[in-house]
Amino acid sequence: MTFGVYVSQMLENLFNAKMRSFLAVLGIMVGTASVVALVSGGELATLNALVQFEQLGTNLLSVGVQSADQGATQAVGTQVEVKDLETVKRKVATVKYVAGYTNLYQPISYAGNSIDGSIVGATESLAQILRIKMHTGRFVSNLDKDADYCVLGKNVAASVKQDGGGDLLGRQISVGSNIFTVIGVMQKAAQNPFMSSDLNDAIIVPLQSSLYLSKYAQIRNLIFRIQKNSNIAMAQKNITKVLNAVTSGKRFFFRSSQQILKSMDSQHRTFTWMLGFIGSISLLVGGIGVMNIMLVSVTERRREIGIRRAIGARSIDIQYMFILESIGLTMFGGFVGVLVGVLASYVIAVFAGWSFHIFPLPPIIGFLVSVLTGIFFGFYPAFKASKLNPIDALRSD
Amino acid sequence: MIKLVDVRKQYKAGEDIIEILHGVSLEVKEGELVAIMGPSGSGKSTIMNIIGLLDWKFSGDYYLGDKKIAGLYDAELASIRNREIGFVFQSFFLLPNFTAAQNVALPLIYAGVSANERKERALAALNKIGMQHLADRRPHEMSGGQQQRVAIARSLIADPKVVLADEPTGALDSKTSQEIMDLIKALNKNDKKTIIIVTHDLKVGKQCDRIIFVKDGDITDKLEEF
Ligand SMILES: Nc1ncnc2c1ncn2[C@@H]1O[C@H](COP(=O)(O)OP(=O)(O)OP(=O)(O)O)[C@@H](O)[C@H]1O
Ligand SMILES: [Mg+2]
Repeated sequence: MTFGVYVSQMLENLFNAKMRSFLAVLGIMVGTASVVALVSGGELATLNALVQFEQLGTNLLSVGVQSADQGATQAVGTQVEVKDLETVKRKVATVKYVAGYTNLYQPISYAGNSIDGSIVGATESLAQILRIKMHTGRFVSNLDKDADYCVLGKNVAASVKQDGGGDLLGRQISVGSNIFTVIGVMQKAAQNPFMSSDLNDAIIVPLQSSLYLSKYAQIRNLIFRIQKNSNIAMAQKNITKVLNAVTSGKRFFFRSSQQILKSMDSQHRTFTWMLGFIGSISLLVGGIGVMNIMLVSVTERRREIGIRRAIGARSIDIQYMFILESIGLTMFGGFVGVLVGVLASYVIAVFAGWSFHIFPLPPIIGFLVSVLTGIFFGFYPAFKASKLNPIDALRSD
Repeated sequence: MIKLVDVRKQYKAGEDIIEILHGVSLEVKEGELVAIMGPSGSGKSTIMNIIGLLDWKFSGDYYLGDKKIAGLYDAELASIRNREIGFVFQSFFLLPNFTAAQNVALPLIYAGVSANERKERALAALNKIGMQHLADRRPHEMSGGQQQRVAIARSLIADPKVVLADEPTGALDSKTSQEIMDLIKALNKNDKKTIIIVTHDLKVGKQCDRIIFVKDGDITDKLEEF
């Protein structure tokens, strides 16, 4: 008996029990679909995060400055000051750029309408490090010092623009009790894991100006771009040394691209394991369902088994026949499951705003696993069928 | 052609062992048309199953042609059933989801015959018994007599030397029974098939070359009424 005959008979037999075949593979379908969807979704998330990193480069290092005494609300000890940034850059050779920034919240309004947004005090190096692109005008520069200039994030610019079109440059924005003149509007800034605030929702003012705006304003965050291929741990150590020398009562928390990638990787791995586990459970349940259906099918088709044996089927032919039907079932389930899963990952991508991409591995694995499930769970019913005595099989009704 | 020597068949029933055949010896020559008759439960089907290699757990000797049937592997038994023996059953035993032609062609699948040739040969076999017009019917769309004809075509498709028919007319009315008997006799006469028929119908038995009587698991030479 050739393989083609096995397959065509399998299809015929499955088709003769459409409804049951469909119900049998529902579990396999759901299992495969969820695994494919979730693993693809995870891959998409990682891919999109990596794209961000590629835009920013992998040699960024951010530092959070915190009071060593956590309970203190008031400024304690000596702060990081604007001039200290220069000092760090001078003393640590591997630092290419350094930017410190402040983050504060004051009422912002334009022409009497209040605008949602935070205030970020920054220097021009922030634009270099984060590769900020301007829509119009320019970013704050070192020459601005404590000038009353401001740069608008994309969303802030949009809400200013609601009050009439035209050029935004030169308009007057009131921040707290001060008036700032717009000197630039940024393009949409990509999300990045080094900044706590979203630049799209921010008004950027010169760093020194922000320190004058509020007595609470402090440089609590620094971002460094390190020279390519230099030792980040070393840079981290040297930066800490210099910062400790110029400040007091502070602790420094570092975040490097490598660290973030690593934690993302380990997160991803746990995620994958977890999904693998959930997937195996649902495939196990689906597989048991298939085995159940195949056992019923073997019992119902005892007569047929007897007839086939009488006219010349070997017991191995009977075994092949049922295993192939089981594989056919799970393969169908796996196929539909893969389609549904990929579709679901597409929906996930659309809702998360990620760019979509089909990864070959999850569908292939999902499909293969469903086939293996068919072999594994079809084996026992098929074996049972093949061991049936032809006379007993014929006598049953 | 077929020779049983002191064949015994036993079943285990719990602790006990029941003997169904107590040393059956019989011989059927090539080209013979033989009936096996006997009361219900006497062991006729058991003998047929042994001759047909559906049951290989017996003691005694069995020769089919010049082969002694003993210690054969499953694949060898299957191959002999496939090529050298044709089966006809009381309730036809066609596969319900298969058409007449597909049913007839089924043995050829296990003989490794190509799809085209299977179809061709199945249609030819149906044609030979005047059934080609029913080739695409499924069993439930045919009468009992028609189904039995299809089953006979199936038993012949691989051109076996021996045909075993266990009560082939048992489910049919007397007119249809006679038609089936005519077909069987023709196969015996024209195609030189060796045929063994189990029957309860003395009218059927009398049309055969000879009758073998079975009673309580033994061959008897006495004709009795059943
Ligand atoms: N699997 C089995 N286990 C135990 N006893 C069995 C088994 N199969 C058949 N028998 C017994 O063997 C005996 C012979 O059965 P067999 O089917 O050969 O009779 P038969 O002559 O064909 O009867 P019938 O004319 O009713 O078909 C019967 O008494 C039956 O009960
Ligand atoms: Mg019987």
